[in-house]
Amino acid sequence: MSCPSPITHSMYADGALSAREARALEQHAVTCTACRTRMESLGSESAVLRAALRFADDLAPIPRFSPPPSARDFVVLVASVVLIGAFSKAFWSTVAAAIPSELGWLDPLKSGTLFERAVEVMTFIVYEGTAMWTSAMNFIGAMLVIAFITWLAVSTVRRRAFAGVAVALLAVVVALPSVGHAFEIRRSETAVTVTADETINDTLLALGQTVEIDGTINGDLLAFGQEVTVRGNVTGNLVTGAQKVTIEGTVGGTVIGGAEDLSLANARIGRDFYGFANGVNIGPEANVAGNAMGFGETVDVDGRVGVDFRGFGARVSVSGAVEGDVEGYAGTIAVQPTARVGGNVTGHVDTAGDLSIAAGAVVGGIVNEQLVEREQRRNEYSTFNYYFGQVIRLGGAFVTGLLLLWLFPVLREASLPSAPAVLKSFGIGLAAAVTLPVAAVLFCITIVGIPLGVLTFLVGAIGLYFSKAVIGQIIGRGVLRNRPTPPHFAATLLLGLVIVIVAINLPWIGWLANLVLTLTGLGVIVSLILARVSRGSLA
Amino acid sequence: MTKEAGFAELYTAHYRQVRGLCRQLLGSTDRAEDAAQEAFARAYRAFASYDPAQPFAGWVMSIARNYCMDLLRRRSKEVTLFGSEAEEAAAAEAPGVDGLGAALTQERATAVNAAVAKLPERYRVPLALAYYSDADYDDIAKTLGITRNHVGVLLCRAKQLLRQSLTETP
Repeated sequence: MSCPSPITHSMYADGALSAREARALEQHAVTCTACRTRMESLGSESAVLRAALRFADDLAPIPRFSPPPSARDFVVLVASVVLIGAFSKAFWSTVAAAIPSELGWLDPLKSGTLFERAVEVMTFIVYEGTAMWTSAMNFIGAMLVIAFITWLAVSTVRRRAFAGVAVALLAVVVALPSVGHAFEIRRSETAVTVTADETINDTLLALGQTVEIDGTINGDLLAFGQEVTVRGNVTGNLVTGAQKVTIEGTVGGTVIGGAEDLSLANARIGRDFYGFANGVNIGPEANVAGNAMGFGETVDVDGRVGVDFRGFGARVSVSGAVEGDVEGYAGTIAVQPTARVGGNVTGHVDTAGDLSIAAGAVVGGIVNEQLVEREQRRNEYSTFNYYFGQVIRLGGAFVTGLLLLWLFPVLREASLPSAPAVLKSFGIGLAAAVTLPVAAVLFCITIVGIPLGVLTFLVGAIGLYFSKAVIGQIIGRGVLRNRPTPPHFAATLLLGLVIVIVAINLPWIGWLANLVLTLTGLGVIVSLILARVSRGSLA
Repeated sequence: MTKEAGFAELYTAHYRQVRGLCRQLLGSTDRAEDAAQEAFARAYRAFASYDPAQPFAGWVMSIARNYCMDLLRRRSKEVTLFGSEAEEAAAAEAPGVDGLGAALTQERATAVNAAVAKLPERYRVPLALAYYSDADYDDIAKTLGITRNHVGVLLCRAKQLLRQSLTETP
């Protein structure tokens, strides 16, 4: 018998030969020294190999076992959400208890007049406003709807992760009220007054049934009550909320006011004015040095506005002097005979003729009546610029995506094999999108944390920017999955990005696709980073 | 003892073994840690179906092995993950370094592990199954979906390559 093959020898050492074959080999070895030596060597090799393969594991650290989430964990999650909710509610009701009962109507959960008005204004803006407003509102609406799904998604993530989210939420709830500065606080169940001969060199928080400011405040004024009247002098900003707000004095900074009835009688406002009210009235003697913006059922400008005026409401009327442009989104916009407008008058109205310029009114620029209806119907998909813009967008995303995948090859292999993985990534992305800015703001509040805060913002922004490239790559790879040879990542990226760009430009649901794709991509990036960080290497 | 506490004990007792198998199968410590966690997570979910009369080690190792094989299959789009038997056999017949035997001492365990990790998947996987989880040829053949002879050829080649790499880098 000639010497058996190395394979036979190997199998013999592994004890894998049949009894007959093994016997034959053993018999051969009796006479063949070479084979006998080889068999002994292979036998001890197998033994050492077994031991060697296990050697390294005796020293491996044992990480803590985190059991996969179960129904019980879900209960724990819901309970913790309820607890956090209860805690924050208790916290805020303590705060609310410190506020006079007259301010009860300010409570956003109680459907008061102002709240209804605000909803009306919001609805109006969503319905008739610009695309920017629409997408902003859509985003908020989507956030609310998705919030519930997120909690479900988060519950599928490891416990550690949702403990983090819970802690982040808790931090937000606890941290928000403590952001405030040292105030001088004046509160009374009845009236808070700052008399004419009085000067306050600090930020003043005034809470009372009626708040009357006749003196001087060298700082910001925050005034809330049923009726707020400012006749004195505020050098800083004025933030006020009341049923009726009247400003007759001087405010050096910006005025932000919410009320049922908000009027600037003969006020002098150094900067901008933002009024949210049932009726916003800039009186004949009033002077706003900066921009003025009014949201309300009726918005009247009888005084002077130093720069531009924007009005949102059912009826917007201008009879005073606006040095810059007038722009209105309203049912009717009337420029009265006494009006003087330095710039253009633009009206976004429902039907032609709703923007009226009275004889005698002076308009320095051009008058432009835009019909909201027609604006909406104009088909952006039929313009060349639109497609050109999308091609530029695709090119930019492709180039930056290539760079990203070239720099971080690990992203080329990122995948979302199943629906739960998509949901999980989306949840992580949403959590990151929500917590990153909050974390950044919290960092920025502490002076030492500013570089860290800026870094957090940057990371968030970069993540959001690159997330479409990552998700595009995943989609592209998914589509070309069945190719015999794996395609180059540039090909999968390009294909995926084309699909992504088409998806986010779909009418009606494009914004949703954009949101889902962006957040899912962000989630993929964040989980990759977390996985790397938890292993202690970013290589 | 609660289910969780009991499982935690088993986890601590068997984690290294499971992680080791995953490492040998996947050829990466990082991936092995994730895979071991996932294997235990699966075991945890299926714990109700575990028969305490059977050794836990075998049960959890088979879960880990199946999971790693799924990972490997998913990662590799090639249909012939383990090459052609004839080609491999021809390569195995070629004269090469003989059995390392006593030269392969315990001291060289680190080098052996590094060499194993560098082996191509098609050799590393059967090697890990045979020498780490002590599976016999029939088991390996079934797990990999190849013939018993093919397993013998791959193992022979695996050891040859290992010897080569170990004698090249003493």
